[in-house]
Amino acid sequence: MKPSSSSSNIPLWMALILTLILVVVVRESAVIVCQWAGIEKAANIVGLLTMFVILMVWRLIKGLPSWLTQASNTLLVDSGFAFLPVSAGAGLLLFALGDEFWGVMLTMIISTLIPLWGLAILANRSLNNSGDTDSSDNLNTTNQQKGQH
Amino acid sequence: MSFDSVFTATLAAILLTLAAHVIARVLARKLSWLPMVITALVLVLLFLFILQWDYNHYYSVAKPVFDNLLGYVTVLLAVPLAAMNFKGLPVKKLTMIVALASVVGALLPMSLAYLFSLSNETILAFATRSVTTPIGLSVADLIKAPLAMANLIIIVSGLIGGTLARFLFRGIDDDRAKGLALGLAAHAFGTVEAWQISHTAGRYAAFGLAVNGLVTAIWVPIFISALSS
Repeated sequence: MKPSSSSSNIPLWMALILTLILVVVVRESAVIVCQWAGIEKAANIVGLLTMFVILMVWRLIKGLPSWLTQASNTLLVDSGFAFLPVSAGAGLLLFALGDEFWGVMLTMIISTLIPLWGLAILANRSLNNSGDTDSSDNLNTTNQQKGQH
Repeated sequence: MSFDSVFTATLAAILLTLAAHVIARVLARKLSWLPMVITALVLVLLFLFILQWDYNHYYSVAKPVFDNLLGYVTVLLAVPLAAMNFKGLPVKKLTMIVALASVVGALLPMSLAYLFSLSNETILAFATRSVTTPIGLSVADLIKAPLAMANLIIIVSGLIGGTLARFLFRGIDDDRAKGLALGLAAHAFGTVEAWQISHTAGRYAAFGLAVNGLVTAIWVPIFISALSS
């Protein structure tokens, strides 16, 4: 497999435009295909999978260009903007849960903390004897997650 | 609040949301302890209250635009996953852990919600608990779960996991394990917390977040569809 990214000298604004074009084309194509197949609601997931396949083929053949990961870093930091209207609805909903409030809260607390604790113990045991190449080449991948939710 | 046309109302909704987002971003930079999502959310509600704008009307005019944006963000998430460097990672063990996390992440909250006699819609919304918001909302839409409830569950559970993780990790000495667990169980809030622990923890959290989202997005809609039929 080729390295996860290869260097390029494209300015950030152009990288952003190219990345947006790629994302819009893939997603809108997925919408058209899913409408034709009668599964309109699956368009985003189909788009995600299609994009992943395209990028993996790209990575296998040429290696992903660094401008793509840089542009996605920049865009994903502000991805929260896309779901603010629905998040505001969630905020209102919290105060309108009524009888379900404690059930929902308890379910959220238990179903988050038990897997978090259990997976950490399991991963601690499983990964204990394996090495770690903490190379900086994929730290960018981590950075871009900081803006998601 | 009233508008002359749908176009004006949509434009106003975008501007209001953008203002809340930008202000929350500036505040989060100055006050690192302030969770940006919560701040932006509170600001949107505050602006709606000040303008006396009904949320349902605001959401109905914003929805067409923001549904598309949500779709683009979901597709964009393929980039960090495809760019991940797997060199040196114990792939088989990671695959097992991710599969377990994905199954437990959906089935445990759904079972608990059932035990607590919550409504069918709420039980469905809990299927998205362990995935990041853009993917979670797409999955919720697909399985006909209420979007606002799914979003509430994703955001609050992420905050709970990210906040309490350090207390749970007292016996864990491997940062990779801490990071992976945070990314898998507490998605992006967990990933931010993992980044505070170390670079290694953050890297594993990013992997957990992206791959769990992808795996869950595939099997949960099929599973729910099979249950319903």
